[in-house]
Amino acid sequence: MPAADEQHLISRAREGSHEAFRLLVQQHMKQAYNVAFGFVGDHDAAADVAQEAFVRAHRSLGSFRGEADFGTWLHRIVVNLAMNRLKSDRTRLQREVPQDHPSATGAAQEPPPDQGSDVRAHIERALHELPTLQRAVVILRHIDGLSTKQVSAILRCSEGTVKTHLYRGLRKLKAKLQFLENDLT
Amino acid sequence: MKHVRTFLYDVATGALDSADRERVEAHLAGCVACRAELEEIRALLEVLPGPAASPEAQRDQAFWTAFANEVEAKLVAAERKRLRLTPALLDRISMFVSANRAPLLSGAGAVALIAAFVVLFWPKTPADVEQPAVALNPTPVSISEPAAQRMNDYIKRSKVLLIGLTNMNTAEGSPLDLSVERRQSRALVHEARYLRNQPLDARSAELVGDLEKILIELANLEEEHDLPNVELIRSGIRRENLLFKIRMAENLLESGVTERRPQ
Repeated sequence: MPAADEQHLISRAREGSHEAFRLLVQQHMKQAYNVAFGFVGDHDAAADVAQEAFVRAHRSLGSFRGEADFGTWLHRIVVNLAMNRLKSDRTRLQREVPQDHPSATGAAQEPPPDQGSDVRAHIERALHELPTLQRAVVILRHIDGLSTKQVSAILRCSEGTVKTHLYRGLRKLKAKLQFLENDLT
Repeated sequence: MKHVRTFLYDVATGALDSADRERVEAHLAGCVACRAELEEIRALLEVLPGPAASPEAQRDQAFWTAFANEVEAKLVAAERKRLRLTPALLDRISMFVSANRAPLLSGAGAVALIAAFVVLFWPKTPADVEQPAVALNPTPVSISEPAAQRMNDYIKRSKVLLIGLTNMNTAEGSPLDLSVERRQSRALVHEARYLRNQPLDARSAELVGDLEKILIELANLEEEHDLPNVELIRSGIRRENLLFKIRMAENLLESGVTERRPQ
């Protein structure tokens, strides 16, 4: 959608047009969903996060100054909501999982040999074990296909910082996937 | 100068700046560890699930239609919640004012007396003296006594009519005779036209406008068996919080508090 058309929709939505906001939702919902899914790894949770992001965006339209485009601004909301959700899920899990359980101590959980055939599933799981920011940059850049410049706009940091987190994230990912070495090389 | 390792991601993705390329490539040519690390990153990037595996592709069109509908429903629900909370708070204030009118009025009188004392006897600075006097009280709304009386009657009659309609038995099979309500509505619509031409305060003018919409709908109901439209009118009464607004207007009229209608 051309930027001018989007700006017009935003102006109309600000004035209370539900139709204009619905068009914005339709324009951005799939990408918002993908970004959310990359973080939460679950279809229902991704839908919840993406919908909540649109509700928050609608509530905050008045403060949207248009410095970034609407999509970038929305992605920032999605990322924040998804990361908050993961944090609260982690806190809940930490309360529920006994302290001596491997997942509570942070030890990498190597799958039994008979479950190790699905490389992709292991990568996705390893991604979800990365620290929040590293996971965010890896997902946004390599799962959602955004450029490092777009990722830096969403996370409000420099491109250099994004690349540093990408590098560190990928190294940790490699360490977590050590047992798949034969498949990776 | 940055360590070459920080450029490995750019090398692996082919995004290395030409200014750094020569130096990084020279380093890689002589460093086995960095070359190995670069290969590992490349291998990892190859197996990372990319945009082609977008989760949205696993959802059908019906899901996306429902998604947009649900966002809209959440927005409407949030708006309704906001609207419900405001009148509920105002309703409580209104009930408190009604129940404590005497103490509040005596309290207000005391405050006014103190304010008058302060204004009259407070030592004046030169700046106070030099500044032009500002009218603290806006010109009161000058509605004639007969018009005020008609406004009062209009509100009371509208209230009785709306409460009657809200509590009317509309169970399946019950006969529905709305002739009296329709007649009263027509009379009140006629009265609203007179009141609209009077210098009403802002709140009363808004109430007359809101009531008029409902009264016109009521006056235009079919002779009988128009249950769906009665339900629509009832929901309109609830949506506009008309009974609450009427209570507020009655309280304000009784206490003689009015505000100017914006020009």
